[in-house]
Amino acid sequence: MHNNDKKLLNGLLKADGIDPNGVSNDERAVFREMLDEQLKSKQSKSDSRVKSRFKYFKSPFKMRKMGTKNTYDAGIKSGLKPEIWRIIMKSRITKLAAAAMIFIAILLGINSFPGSSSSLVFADIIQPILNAKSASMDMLIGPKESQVKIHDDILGSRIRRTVSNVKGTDIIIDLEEMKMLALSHTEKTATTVKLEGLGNIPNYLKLLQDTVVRMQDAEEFKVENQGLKSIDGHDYVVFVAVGGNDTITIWCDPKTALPVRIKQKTPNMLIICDNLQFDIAFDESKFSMDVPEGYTVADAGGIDFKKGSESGFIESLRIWAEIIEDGHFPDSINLQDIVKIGPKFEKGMKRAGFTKEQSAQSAMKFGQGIVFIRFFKGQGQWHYAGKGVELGDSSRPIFWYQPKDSETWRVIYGDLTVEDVAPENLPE
Amino acid sequence: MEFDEQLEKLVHRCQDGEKAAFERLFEIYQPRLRYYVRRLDSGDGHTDDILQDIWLAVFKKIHKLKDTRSLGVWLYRIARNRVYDGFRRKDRFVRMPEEDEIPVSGTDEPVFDAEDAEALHKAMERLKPQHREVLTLCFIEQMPYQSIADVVGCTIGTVRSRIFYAKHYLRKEMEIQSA
Repeated sequence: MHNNDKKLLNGLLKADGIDPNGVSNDERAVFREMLDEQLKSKQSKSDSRVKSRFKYFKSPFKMRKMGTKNTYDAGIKSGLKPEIWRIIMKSRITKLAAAAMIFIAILLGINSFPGSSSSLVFADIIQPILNAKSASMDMLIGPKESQVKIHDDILGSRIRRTVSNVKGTDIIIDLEEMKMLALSHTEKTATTVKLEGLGNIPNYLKLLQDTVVRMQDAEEFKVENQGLKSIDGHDYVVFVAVGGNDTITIWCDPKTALPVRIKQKTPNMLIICDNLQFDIAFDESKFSMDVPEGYTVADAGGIDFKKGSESGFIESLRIWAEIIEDGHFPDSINLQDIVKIGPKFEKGMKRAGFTKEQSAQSAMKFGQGIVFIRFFKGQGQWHYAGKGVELGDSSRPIFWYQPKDSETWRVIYGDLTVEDVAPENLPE
Repeated sequence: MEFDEQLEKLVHRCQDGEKAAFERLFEIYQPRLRYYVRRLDSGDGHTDDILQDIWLAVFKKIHKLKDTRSLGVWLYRIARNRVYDGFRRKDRFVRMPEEDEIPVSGTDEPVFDAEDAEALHKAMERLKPQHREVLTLCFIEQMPYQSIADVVGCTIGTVRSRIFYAKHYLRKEMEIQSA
């Protein structure tokens, strides 16, 4: 360190009231206490948990083949259907709606990746990806026969996304600037969308990295090493990790020690990430947010997710009950339900006699409003109890949540009116 | 022996579970980490908790650190994750608008003298969070741009751009203060 640099460092620390020459006795004492505790804890665990952790993770790729070879069954029995993507691809505006919906649905999906609630330790298996700067992956949604494949190339904070049943369209997402550019190569149109109010959304790679970091601190975890299994004639080491209600299955390449497939299952959804590759030397221009030459710029305005909030969510509930479910509220409102509503949405819009424009607007409103649940800003949990409730039933509460810094709860009723309710008067 | 070599050896000793090595690492990095965390966390009185979390994570994970030369990046990434985990829990992280990445040359960047440290420190408080963060890493660790990019999780071009802007804003802010 140069003299000026060192002086500058010391000066900055002093200016902040920090002794540049070391730590205080109190700090040192606290650290030593913590260190002693950790060393002691490590020692006592070395014959049990820590050993078992090493058994599973330390050298998983030196293992000989164990267990039986299974042909990988890519079929997903989740009941997810991809029709929603097709329905909303009928006009330029609907393309925008589709882009937004794809974006929202995947955000909803990837951000539910276990981390905050589960307690797993993945250790060495996914350690190599921590340093990855770029990645490529396929996200598979729905049963095999009607599966939608979303392909993501990721470079830093940018994603280039293609969707298997949205032909001729690329979506480039800048998660740092929160912008989206939808390029229709067939129509030579470029639609830029400002995605406001979505907060700090990591891409899947970053999310995975953050998750790994968090998981490494976890004290409790349950992992099963299923040995070598085969996918399309290639052997992979398979680990199944369970934490709380979440299950993650990871297929690792025994030679590179890198995960090639991750299956994430939560009570609300199932997503498979396939063909994972890391540190690809992408051409940066592929992620450019500049409109290509010869493309017409479509003025789509922006999607301000801040405006969604409660009123947007209520509008989504109205659309869901009125158009999608023909007069009653859905049984549940989780991600799986959202992705499944495609066919019902189409029928409902026909039934209502909507024009394409009206259909697109409904899809957009629905997508925006539903984000309220994903980016829930209240305290604790939201509760949904709309199963069997008719739209207009003012006697039945269907949704309630506690806004941030509020002592009362907001309760939405079947007629979509809202009331502030004291905690002791909440629905049971 | 060069400082970097000493650090590498220190990391190896930590990886072997040597108590004295951990204590040494703590003595070296705790003041700088405190400064960095305070710049990110804007002082809600949680700094000590965050620092404790950081060192717990260091203790638990240091045996996984394969490239011991990247200790600084690794350490600050842990610190950053801990601070931002706190933000996520508190749901108060506010994304700030960022300038476009622009090509900049290193020659037209303001240079800061150690004598100005106090004014610099005060002026930094007025910068945007993302500018303050990269400058902090730049000033307290003299991190190369690539390492800062690794810590912050963005491209080297973005770091270059942020530092360029940040230094100019800082200089302007210091001029306002002195006036």
